[in-house]
Amino acid sequence: MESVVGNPYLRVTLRARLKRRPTMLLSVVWVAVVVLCIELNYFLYSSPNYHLYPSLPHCFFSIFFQLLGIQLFLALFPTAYYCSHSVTLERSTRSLPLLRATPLSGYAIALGKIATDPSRIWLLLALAVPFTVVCAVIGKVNALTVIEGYALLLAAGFFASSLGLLFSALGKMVTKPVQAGGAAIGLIMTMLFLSQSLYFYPPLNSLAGLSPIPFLISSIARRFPLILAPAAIAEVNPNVNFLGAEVRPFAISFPMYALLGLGCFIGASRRIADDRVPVLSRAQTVCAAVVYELAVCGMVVNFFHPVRSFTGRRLAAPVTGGTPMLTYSLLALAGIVVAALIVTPNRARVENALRKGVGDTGWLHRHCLGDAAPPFPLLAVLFALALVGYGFLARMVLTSAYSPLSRASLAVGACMLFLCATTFSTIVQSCFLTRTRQPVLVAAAALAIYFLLPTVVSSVFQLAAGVVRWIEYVYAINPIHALTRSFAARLSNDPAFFALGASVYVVLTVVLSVGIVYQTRAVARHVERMRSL
Amino acid sequence: MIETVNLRKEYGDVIAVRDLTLTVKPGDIFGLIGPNGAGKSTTINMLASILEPTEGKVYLDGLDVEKNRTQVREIVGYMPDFFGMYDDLTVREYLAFFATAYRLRQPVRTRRIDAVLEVVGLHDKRDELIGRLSRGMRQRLCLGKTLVHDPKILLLDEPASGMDPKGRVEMRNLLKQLQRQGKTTLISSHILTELSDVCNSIGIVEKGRMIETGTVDDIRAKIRRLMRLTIEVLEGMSNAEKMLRDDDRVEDIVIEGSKLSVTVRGDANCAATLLERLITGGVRVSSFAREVENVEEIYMQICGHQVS
Repeated sequence: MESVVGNPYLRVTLRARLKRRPTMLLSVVWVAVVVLCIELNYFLYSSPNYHLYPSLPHCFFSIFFQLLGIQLFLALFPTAYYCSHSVTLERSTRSLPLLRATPLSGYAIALGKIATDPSRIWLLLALAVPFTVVCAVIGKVNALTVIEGYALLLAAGFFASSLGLLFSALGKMVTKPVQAGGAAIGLIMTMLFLSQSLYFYPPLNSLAGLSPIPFLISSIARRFPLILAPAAIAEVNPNVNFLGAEVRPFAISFPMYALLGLGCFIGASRRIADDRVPVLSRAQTVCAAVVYELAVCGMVVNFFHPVRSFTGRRLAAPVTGGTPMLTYSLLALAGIVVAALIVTPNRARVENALRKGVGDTGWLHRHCLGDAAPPFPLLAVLFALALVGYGFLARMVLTSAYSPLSRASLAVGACMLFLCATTFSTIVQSCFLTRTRQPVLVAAAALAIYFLLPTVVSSVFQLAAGVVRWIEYVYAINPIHALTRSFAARLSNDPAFFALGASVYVVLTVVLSVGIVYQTRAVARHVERMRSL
Repeated sequence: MIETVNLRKEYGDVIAVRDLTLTVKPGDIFGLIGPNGAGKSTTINMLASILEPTEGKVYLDGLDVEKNRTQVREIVGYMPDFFGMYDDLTVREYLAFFATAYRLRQPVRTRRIDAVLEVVGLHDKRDELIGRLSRGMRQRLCLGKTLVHDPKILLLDEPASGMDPKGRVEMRNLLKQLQRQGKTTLISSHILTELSDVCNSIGIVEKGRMIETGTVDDIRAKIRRLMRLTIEVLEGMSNAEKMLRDDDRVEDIVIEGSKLSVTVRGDANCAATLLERLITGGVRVSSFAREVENVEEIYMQICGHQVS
C-alpha cells in the first residue's frame, strides 16, 4: 500500500506530466477522434443511402465494440512502446543509481514506471470511458460485457506495459528492436483501421496472395487464446466460437493478460532492484523482441479475419486478403531482417576467420564464406529463385483455399524464408566487409518491393473503389457503379489478370536479381582478397 | 558514523576494492583521494547500498547496511559522479519527487524543499524545467536532492567536477556549513585542491587498496621526515650553498636567483639549527620559511613513495 500511496511517480511525476501542453493537445485530438467515430457511425445509420444498421441500438452496440477495439489497440501497443525504454533510459542517463539510493523498492519503481511513462495513454483511455459507457447504454450492451471489456483493457494495458518494462530492464540493447517492432505494428494497425472501412471488393485481394505466410500466422493465431478478444471486437459479438465451443472471450482473456502481466512485472521489479549488469546478448535481445512481436501479431491478424477466398466464400479461419496481407508481408519482412541479424556474426570475427582460414564463425560463414562456399552471385541467384518459388507455391496454395496443400506449404515456406534470411544475412555481412551499404539496400529494396507491391496495388484499388462507391451513393450515379462492378468482376474472375500479376512478378524478380548479382560481385572480389591475405 | 571492515568488491577477475577498512567519526569530512579507477566510486556505491560487496561489512550510524538497507538509505544522502535528471520536470517537482521517495510528508516536505532551494541557490529557478538548466545548476540541484531529506551522512562522489571556480568555492563553503550542522561527509575526488581546505581526515586509495588514512595532521606528521624550506639570501649565497651541501640532513637544493629551495630530512628543530648555522656562518638571510604541505603534496609524497 505504501508503494502506491507514497509513490513519488504517482504523487509528483504523473501530475507533472499530465499538466504539460502536449498532453492537453493529445487529449483534444483523441476526444475528436472518438466523437468522429461515433458521428460517422451515426451518419451511416441515419443516412437514407446507407442501411448499415437496422436500429439505433444496433448502431451504438457496434460503436461500443469499435471504441473498445481502438482502446485495446492503445492499451496494447503505445504502452509497450513507452515502457520499453523506461529503464534503459534511466541507465543511459545514469539516473537509476539515484533512484536505487532511495528507500523505494523495485516494485515501487516498476509500478511508478508503468503508471507514468505511458501516462498519456492512460489518460486517453480514461477520457474514452464516458463515451463508451453512453454507447453501451444506448446500444443495450450487457453490463457484464462492459465490465469484462474494461477489465480486459486494464489487464491488456498492464500486460503490455509490464512486458515493455521487462524488456527494458533486461538489457541495454532491447530498446531499439522493441521500439521498432512496437512502432511498426502500431503503424500497421493504424493503416489497417483506416483501410478496413474501404474493404469492399475482397476478390481484388487475391492479387496479393503470393505468400504462404498467412497460413503460418493463422495456424499460430488459431491456437492462441489471447486473440479471442480482438476477434470478438471485430465480430461485434461478445461470444465467439473457440475450438468448437461458445465462449466469452473478454472473460477468458483478461485473467490471462493479468497473469502474464504480473509475471513480467515481478521479473522487471527484481531486475530493477538488483540492477545487475545486463546479460542478454545481442541475439538474445533480438529474439526477445521477436517473441514480443509474435505475442501481439496474433491479435493483429485476428482483428481482420473475416476475409474471403477467391470465390468470395467466407473462410473459417484467418487466411489471406488485401489489407491483412500488408500485415503478413511486413511481419515476414521484419522476420527476415531479424533472422539475418541473428545469424550475422560480427565483422571482426569474420575477418579474423578469413585471414586465418578458420571456419569458426558459425554455420553461415562456414557455408557461405568458407572455402567450400558457393560464390556470391550464385547465392544471389538462389535468393531470387527462392523468392520466385515462394511466390508460385503461394499461388498454388491460394487456388485451393485452405486445403492440405496449404498445410504442406507451411514447411516449404519456412524453408524458403530461411534461405532468404541466410542469403540476406550474407549480403548484410558483405556490407561489414566492404564497408558499403549498397548490397543491403538493394536486398532490402528487393524484399520490400517483392512483398509489399501487390498489397499496395490492391489497397490502392480498394481505396479508389471505396471513393467511387461513396460518390455513387452520394450522387446516385449508377453508370459508374455498373462500370466499377464490371471491372471488379473481371479482376476477380478473369485468369488473364492473374497471369498478368504473375508475369509482373517474374519480371520484377529477374530485374532485382540482376541488381543483387551486380552489387555482390564487388563483395565476392573483396572476400577473395581477404582469403588471399 | 561510517565504518567499513575488510570491504572487497570483485568484478570477475578484476578486484575493484580490496580489503578496505576505514572509519569516519561523526561530524567529520572525510576525503577519499585517489587517481581515476582507484575504486573510490565503487566504495561509495557500496556505502550507499546500491552495490553489494563481495566480502566485508559496512556500518553506517551503527546499522549493518546489508541487513538494514531501507533504514540506511533514509539517513544517507548520495550524490554520484555522473547523474541524469528528468528534463520534463521542474526544479521544484524534481525535489518533490525525491522528498516523496524519502517519505517526507507535508508540511515538512515543502519546508525542506524551500530550505534546500535556498541553500543551493536555485530558489529563483524553482519553476524552471530541468532541461533548461546549465550543467552547474544541475550539479547544484543534484546536491539539493542529496540534502532534501536532511540526511545524517553525505556520500559525495566528485561533487565539484564540472563546476566553475565560483561554484567550487560555494561548494566548499556549503560543506563547511553542513559540517557545522553536524553532518558526516565522505567526499571523493581526484582534484586534491578541492579537498585541501575542507577535509579534516583523508584516506588515500590506490588500486582498490587504502594506502594511508587518518587526520590530515596525522598524515602530515608521518611524512614530516622530509621538509621543504624556502630561504632567501641577501649576501653569502655561495657560502650558504656550500654549508647546506655539507649538511648530511639536506637531501636536495634548488637555486633560483637569490632563493634556495631546500629539502631537509628532519623536523622543526632541524630547521632551527640550520638557520642558526647559516647566520653564524655569515650568511645574511632575509627570509626563512617552511612550506606547509597541503593534501595534494601529502598525496604526492605518499603515492610517490609507494610507487618507488
